[in-house]
Amino acid sequence: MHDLSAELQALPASESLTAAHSQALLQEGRRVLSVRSELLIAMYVAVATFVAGVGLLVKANLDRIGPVALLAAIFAASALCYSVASRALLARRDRSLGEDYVLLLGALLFSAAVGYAEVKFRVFGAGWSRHLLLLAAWHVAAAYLFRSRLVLAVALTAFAGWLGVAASLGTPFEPVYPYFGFGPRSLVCALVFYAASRFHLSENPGAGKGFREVYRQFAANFAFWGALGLGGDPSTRWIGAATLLGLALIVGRAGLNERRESFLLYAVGYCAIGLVWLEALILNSYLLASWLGLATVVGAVVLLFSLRSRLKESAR
Amino acid sequence: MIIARPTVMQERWLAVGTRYPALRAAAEKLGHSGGWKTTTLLGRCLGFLLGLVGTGMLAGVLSQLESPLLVGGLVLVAAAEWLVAQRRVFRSGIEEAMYLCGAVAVVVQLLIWSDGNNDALGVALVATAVLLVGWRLLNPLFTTLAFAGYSLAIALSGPQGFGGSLSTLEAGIACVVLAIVALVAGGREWQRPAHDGMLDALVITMPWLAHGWFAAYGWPGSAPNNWALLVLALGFLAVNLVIGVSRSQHAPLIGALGNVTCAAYSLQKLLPWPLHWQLIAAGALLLAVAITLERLLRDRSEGLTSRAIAEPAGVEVIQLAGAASISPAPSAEPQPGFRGEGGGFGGGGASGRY
Repeated sequence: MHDLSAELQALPASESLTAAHSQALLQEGRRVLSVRSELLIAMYVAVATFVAGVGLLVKANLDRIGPVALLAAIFAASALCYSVASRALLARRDRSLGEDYVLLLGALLFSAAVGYAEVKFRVFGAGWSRHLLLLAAWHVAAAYLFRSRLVLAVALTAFAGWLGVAASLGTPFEPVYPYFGFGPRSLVCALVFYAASRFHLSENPGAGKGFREVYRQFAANFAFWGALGLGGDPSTRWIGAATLLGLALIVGRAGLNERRESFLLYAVGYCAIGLVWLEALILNSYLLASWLGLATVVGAVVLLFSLRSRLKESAR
Repeated sequence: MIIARPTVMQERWLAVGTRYPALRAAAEKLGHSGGWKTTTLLGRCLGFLLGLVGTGMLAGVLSQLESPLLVGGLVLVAAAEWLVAQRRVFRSGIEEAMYLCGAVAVVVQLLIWSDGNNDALGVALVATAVLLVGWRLLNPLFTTLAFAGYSLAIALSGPQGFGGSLSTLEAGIACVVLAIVALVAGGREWQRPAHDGMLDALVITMPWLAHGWFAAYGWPGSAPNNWALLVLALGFLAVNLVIGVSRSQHAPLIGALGNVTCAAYSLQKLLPWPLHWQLIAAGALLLAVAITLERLLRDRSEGLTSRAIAEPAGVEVIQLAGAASISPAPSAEPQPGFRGEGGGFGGGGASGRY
C-alpha cells in the first residue's frame, strides 16, 4: 500500500479542483474505493462469454433444436435486454453501467439472430450482405434512441462488414476484388464515418462522451487501415504510402488542435509502422531496409516526444 | 553509484498526476517531479511497440556482425540508459522495450557462447536479466515476467528439462508462495508506488500461473485434479475478496476476477454440460453478479462504490474497441461466382465466420 495524501495536501487550493481534490483525498485515505473498472471488466467478459456461447449454440444445434425455436429464443433474449435498457429511457434518467452492457448484449444478440436467420433462410438470397446494412441501420437507430456509444460502435462495425471489411486479422492482405479491395473499402468507410461526425459538430470534441468522438475514432482507424491496405497491393503501393503520410498529417494536426492524444498516437504509430512495412516491401536490400526502418523509428520517436511536449504546452 | 531514476518523492508526485488526471496540471506546476517525462497508458503502449520495431530493425542492421546479439544488446542498453539519464524519460515504453530486449540479447549471447545445456539455468539467467531491468526501470510488468521465468526455471529443473517431464508441482507451489508473500507484503506501507505496483502485479498473476502449472501436473484433466484446482481457485478468490475489501485495494479485487476465471475453467471440466451452455450460464451469472454489485454500490459515497471517481485516459477508446471486437462477423459465405450487393462491392471481403 502507499498513500499519497501528503502530496495531495501540499497541492495549492483551487476552486475548480475542490471536488477532484477532496475525492482524491478520500481515495488515498482508503475511505472510498471505486470498483467501477473491475465491474466494467467483469461486464465486458460476461457479455463476450454469453455471445460466444450463443454463437456455439447456434452452430452446434442448428438441426437439433430447430431454427424457428432457436431464433425465437435469441430474439426473445435480445428483446428482454432492450426492455431492461429502455426502463432508463422511459424514466428519463441516465443508464447505469450495467444497463449499458445489457443494451450492448441485446444489440449483439440481435445481430447474432439476424445473421443466423440469413444463413438459415437466405432471406435476401444472392444479396445476402444486405442483412448487414439492415443491421447497421437498426443499430444506428437504437444507438440514437438510447444514446449509446457502445451500440453505435456495433452499428459502425456492421456497416463496415457490409462494405466487406470484416474486422479480423488476415483480411487486409486477402482482398477478394483486386480493384476494390480492402484499402479503398476502408477509405470509403472512413469517409462515411467522417461525414457522419460532421452532423455532431455542436458536441464538444474534448468531452469524450458524444457520438462525434465515436465516428472520428472509427474514421481515423479505418482511414489508416485503408492506406495500409493500398500499400499492401503492389499496384497501389505508392498511393498507399502517400495516403498514409497525408492522413498522418491531417490526423496529427487534428490531435494537436483539439488536444486529443489518441489522434497523435494514431498519426505517429500507424505512419511509422506502416512506413517501415512499406520500406521492407519496396526495397530489395535487407540491410538497406533495416537501416531505413531504424531511421524511420528513430524519427517517429523524436516526433512523438516533440508532439507530446507541444500537447503539454498547449494544455497550460 | 548513482542510478538515474526518479527519487521516491519525484515518483510519488508523478503518481499523483497519473492517478488523478484532473490534478495533473496542478501537480506539475509545483515542479516536484524533477522534470521526468512520462506518458499515458496508450502512449506507453505505442512507445513500447516502436521500441520493439526499432530493436528488430537494429537486429537487421547488425545481422552481418559476428556477435550481433552482444553488440546489439549493449547498444540498446546504452541507448536506453542515455534516454533515461540524459533525456529524463520515465515509463515512456520506448526505453523499456530497448532495455528489455538489450539485456535479454546480451544474456542469450553469453548463453550461446557458454554452449551449456542446462535449460533451467539459462531460463533463470534470462529471468534475472529481466528482473534487473524491471528493478532499474521500476517496471512491475518486467518483475512479474521475471518471477514467471523463475517458475519456468523451477519447472525445468527436473532431470529432463525442455521436451521432458516438467516439475510443475514445484513450480506451482513456488507461484502460490509468491502470491501469498506478495499479498502479505502488500499490506505494508510502501513509499515508492512502483514497489507497490510490483507486489500488486504478483498478487494478480501468480495465482493464474499456479493454476496453469497445477493443471499440467499429474493426470491433467482428471476429476481429482480439477477438484483440487477448483478448491485452490476458490480459496484464492475468497482471500483476495476479503483482503481487497478490508484494505480497500484494487489488486486483490482484480486478482479475484482472475480467480473467477480459473474457477470457471476447472468447473467446466467437471460439469458434463456442452460448452455453449457453460459459456451462456457463466456469462449470464457473471453479468447478473456484476449488475447486482453495481446497483448495490451505486449510491455509496464511502467505502466500496461503483461510481466513477477518476477514470484513466483511454478507457473510452478501449471500451469502443472492445464493443466492436465482439460484434458478430458477417455470417454468410459468398457462393462461387457470387457478387455481393451494396453498390456492387458489398460483402466481398466477408469472412464467413459466425
